[in-house]
Amino acid sequence: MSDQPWLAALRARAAERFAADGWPDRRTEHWKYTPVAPIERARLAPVDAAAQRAEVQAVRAAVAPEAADFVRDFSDLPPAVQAGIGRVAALEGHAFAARNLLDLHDGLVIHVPRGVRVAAPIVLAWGTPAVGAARPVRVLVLAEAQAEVTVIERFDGDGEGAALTNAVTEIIARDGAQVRYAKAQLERDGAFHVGRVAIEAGRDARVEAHLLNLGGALARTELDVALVAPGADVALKGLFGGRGARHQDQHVTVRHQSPRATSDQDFRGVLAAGARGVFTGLVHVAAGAHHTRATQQNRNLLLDAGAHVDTRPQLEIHNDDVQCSHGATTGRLDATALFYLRSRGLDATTARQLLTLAFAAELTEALPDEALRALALDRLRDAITGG
Amino acid sequence: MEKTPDNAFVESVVRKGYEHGFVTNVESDAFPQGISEDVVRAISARKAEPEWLLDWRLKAFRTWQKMAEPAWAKVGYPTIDYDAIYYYAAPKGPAPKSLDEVDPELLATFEKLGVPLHERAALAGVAVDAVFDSVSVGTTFKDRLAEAGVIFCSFSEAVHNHPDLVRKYLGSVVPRGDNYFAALNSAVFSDGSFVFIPEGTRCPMELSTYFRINAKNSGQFERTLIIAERGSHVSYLEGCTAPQRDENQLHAAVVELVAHEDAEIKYSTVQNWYPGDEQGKGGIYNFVTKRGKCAGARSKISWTQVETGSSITWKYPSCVLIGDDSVGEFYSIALTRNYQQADTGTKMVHIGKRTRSTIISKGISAGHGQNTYRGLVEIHAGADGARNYSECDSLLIGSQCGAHTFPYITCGNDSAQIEHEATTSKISEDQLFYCRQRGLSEEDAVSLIVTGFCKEVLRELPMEFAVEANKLLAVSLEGTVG
Amino acid sequence: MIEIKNLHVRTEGGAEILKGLDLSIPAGQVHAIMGPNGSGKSTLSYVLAGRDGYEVTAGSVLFKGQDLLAMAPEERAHAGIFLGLQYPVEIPGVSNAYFLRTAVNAVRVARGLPALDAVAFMAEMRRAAKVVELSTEMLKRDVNVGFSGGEKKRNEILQLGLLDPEFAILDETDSGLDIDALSVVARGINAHRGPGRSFLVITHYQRLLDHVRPDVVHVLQGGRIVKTGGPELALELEARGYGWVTEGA
Repeated sequence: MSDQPWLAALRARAAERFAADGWPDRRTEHWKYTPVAPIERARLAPVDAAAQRAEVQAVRAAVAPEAADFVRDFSDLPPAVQAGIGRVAALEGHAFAARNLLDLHDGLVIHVPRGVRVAAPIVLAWGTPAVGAARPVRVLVLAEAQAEVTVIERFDGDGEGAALTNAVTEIIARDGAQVRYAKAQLERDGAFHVGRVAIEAGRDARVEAHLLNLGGALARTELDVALVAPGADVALKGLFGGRGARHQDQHVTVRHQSPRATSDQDFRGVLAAGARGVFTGLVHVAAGAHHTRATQQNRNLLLDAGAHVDTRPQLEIHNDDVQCSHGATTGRLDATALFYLRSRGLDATTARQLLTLAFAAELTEALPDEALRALALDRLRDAITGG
Repeated sequence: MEKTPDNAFVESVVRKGYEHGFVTNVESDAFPQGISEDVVRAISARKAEPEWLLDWRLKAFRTWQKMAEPAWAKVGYPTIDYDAIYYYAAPKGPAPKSLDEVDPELLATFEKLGVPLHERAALAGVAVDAVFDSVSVGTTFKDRLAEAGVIFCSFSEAVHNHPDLVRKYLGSVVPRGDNYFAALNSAVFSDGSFVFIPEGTRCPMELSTYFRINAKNSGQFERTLIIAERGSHVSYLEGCTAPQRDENQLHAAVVELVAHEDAEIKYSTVQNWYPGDEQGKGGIYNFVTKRGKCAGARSKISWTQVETGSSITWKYPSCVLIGDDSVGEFYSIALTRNYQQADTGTKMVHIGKRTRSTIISKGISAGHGQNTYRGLVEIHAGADGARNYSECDSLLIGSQCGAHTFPYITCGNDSAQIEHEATTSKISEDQLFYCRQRGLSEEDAVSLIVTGFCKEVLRELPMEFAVEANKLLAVSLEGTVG
Repeated sequence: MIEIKNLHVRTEGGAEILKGLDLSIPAGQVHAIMGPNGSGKSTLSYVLAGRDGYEVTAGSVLFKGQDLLAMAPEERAHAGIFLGLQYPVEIPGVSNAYFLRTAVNAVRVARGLPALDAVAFMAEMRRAAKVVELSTEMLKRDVNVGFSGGEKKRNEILQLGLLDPEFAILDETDSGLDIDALSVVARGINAHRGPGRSFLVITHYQRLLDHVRPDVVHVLQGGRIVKTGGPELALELEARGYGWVTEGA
């Protein structure tokens, strides 16, 4: 089976782009804190077309039956839906997004027609990539006007050995649509994960996106949000960290292009020995985007020596009619609170776990899926005990 | 009915002229335009410098030639032609040996700027070094300071009279190849101020340097070096103005501060270089490298700046906190109006244990002004118990301006505690209405609210400067409303 | 003193709040306006003081014969209009004393009086502060920052005393006050009553009117004055609520 002509065209464009840009390096401002060299050095081979199609079918088959009708693969897409692929995840300056298309043969599209509410969460459980493989994963969520849908993507990992997942998810929420999205990056210790979630929110649309960046050796997810019409409202919540040799980067760009839109960012890192966390968050308010309200929070917990965090909360405002704020804090667990818990009989580890879970509670409790929450809590407990 | 931002209000954002735009008519002795090894040698020769210093300059020059002008700041300007600049311009005639010999025209200039150099007329309690284009024209209260063991003189004098100190400390905080503009300065710097406070001494008066650019098409490249020995204390102020001209002029200074054990340096700046006109024509490019080293335990360096001038400001007064328990502070007000651009902030590098830093930045943008806070807080792995608190607030007046906040925070020590907060909003309608209901004009209301917004920084200024800074803010805001 | 005729006002959002309000207050009188939430009481006070965000679509307001609606907020203040806000605004970094002096002198100069120097102003301010029992400590603090609800309201009455207006609008000055603070505020208001000064007291409850006895009481409902009477009307409203007013009408 060969690729659809539209896909071939996208791939050709991506090839050109990739040839022009090449991989980013440390001098690339957006990649200042995250080295790409280890991925290049691993010399990973792209997954072939047959294997991609097989995985896409397996993931699709596992979707709950009541929601399965909304999920399609790349064969036989209506042109209006197909046109959404590559629309919001621009290629310029995004070498990995170009690479994703370049290596791509199949993916999944979730299309929810106008006014339809999909009650069951659509869970896309991507398996573990083979050792030595570079796997492109591609998803488009297209929620038409007034549609409602919850989509959960899981990247679980077992076994060992180097591999790369290069995942691009595009979310288009048309007027009045409501999309809840969660991405759980829980890849195995030796794995690389580079991902991009590009969101476009229309008039009065509401998008809630959760990012759990808790696995892998080197993982980065870019969240690119464009608020393109009045009344759009986007909330981003991210939790990252863990123990051991992990590098986890979250790179957020929120563009207010239209009046009366709202965005909130809440990212929290829990970093134990050996782990390095990076948060970059930009709120960009265009000249005409009056009555913008935007907040941005990054809180980091350093559990012990050898943990490291870099944070860059940024505001770029070209308009005076705004209410924007950001805050960033970095510190360890509160000594008084620890003492208080121990004075009530809790051992040190339990006390530390309790306070760490409390630190992340607002994020874990907001997750749209019970299984995801349990996984996140397990990872956080492990960060304390070194499990 | 979109009533705000009211057009009249916005358009009028700042029509006030520049008070210090006059030109002094003195014959200038300038080197030919352009930069080359010969120019570097000629500057050094004019100053009869020792061989090692010429060597140092030449190395800096060669480094500079290999460097590229930085492009990361959020400022835009046409390419600078480094061969169209006069690198050395000085009033003609032999260097005055004392204030009595200074050209009366120059004395009158500084008098007019509010910095009388005759000691009987001078501000009580403030010693002044007056720098005019490339040279220092005089330093007041030298004798009284000498009694306390304090050295306060022009940089050129220091090179001759205190060569060991200069040689030991020059480039020790800002290496000659540190960045593009620092390298340029290291090659062609002409004068500046030198301060040395001996061990255990509290400097008996405020020290101040007043920088004046006068000559056309000249750049000013001054170098300031302040050394505070163990247990000493000094408060230093600088002020800057320039004539109103259509061409842009470059000011690329380097300031180095060294604070030894238990020493404290307080460095305050009221920067009022010519900002350009309403259309953004002319004005000074203020590309400055300022850095202090808290070398000793419990030392403290505090930067306070009020930046209302220059068409472009690019400066990041920084602290390298090496000594345990040392303290760095940065208090800043940056006001941009018309087409002014400012990209300013600080770097706080925490190396020693229990080092502490505070950053308070207040940005005000009006007209087409673009105001960026850019700051780095870096906690090294060994900086146990380090603390940083940063607060960066931006106020916007009018819909054409921009305010940007770019903090970089890096933490490699789990016992460190870092807190950063920033807000950006327009001037409050509620506050404006409340003030006007009580009878204040819109203009006075804006001025009052902005002054309140800046208070945390203004109160850090020494008395003599606080008054001037307040006035400057009010003047800069005049005409912000219709 | 003030003549309001057929006033129609809508907000920037487009909702019509005042729908043909008529009100006339002669010199020296105290009028109270009562009404349920959302009846347009605060809108009326903001429109009289000249706040942005409201559009007068019809009607007129004459203050001592002048067209009030044509004037900027500060011009109205200079002419003698004072609005005591329901939620006085905080101005961080600006001391209360400095703010008051700036305001008093702006108003004095506009009225052709000499500005007060620091010493003369301090004496004035101390005297005015005593009336509302505000300590000199409060005068040094930033404008309304960290003030309790009662302190903010007393600070408003202090400004009323200093700015010497001819027509004072007090918008829910009694809200959020305990009984002691209420009596201090009321005493402050009464101290400023006189033949040359009129008041418009906007309130939700009767209790302020126990302390500040009005000459006339109006009921504002649905953007219009629906009933006018003497002080006894306030008592009746307190006892029976607002519903009966329109039922009877």
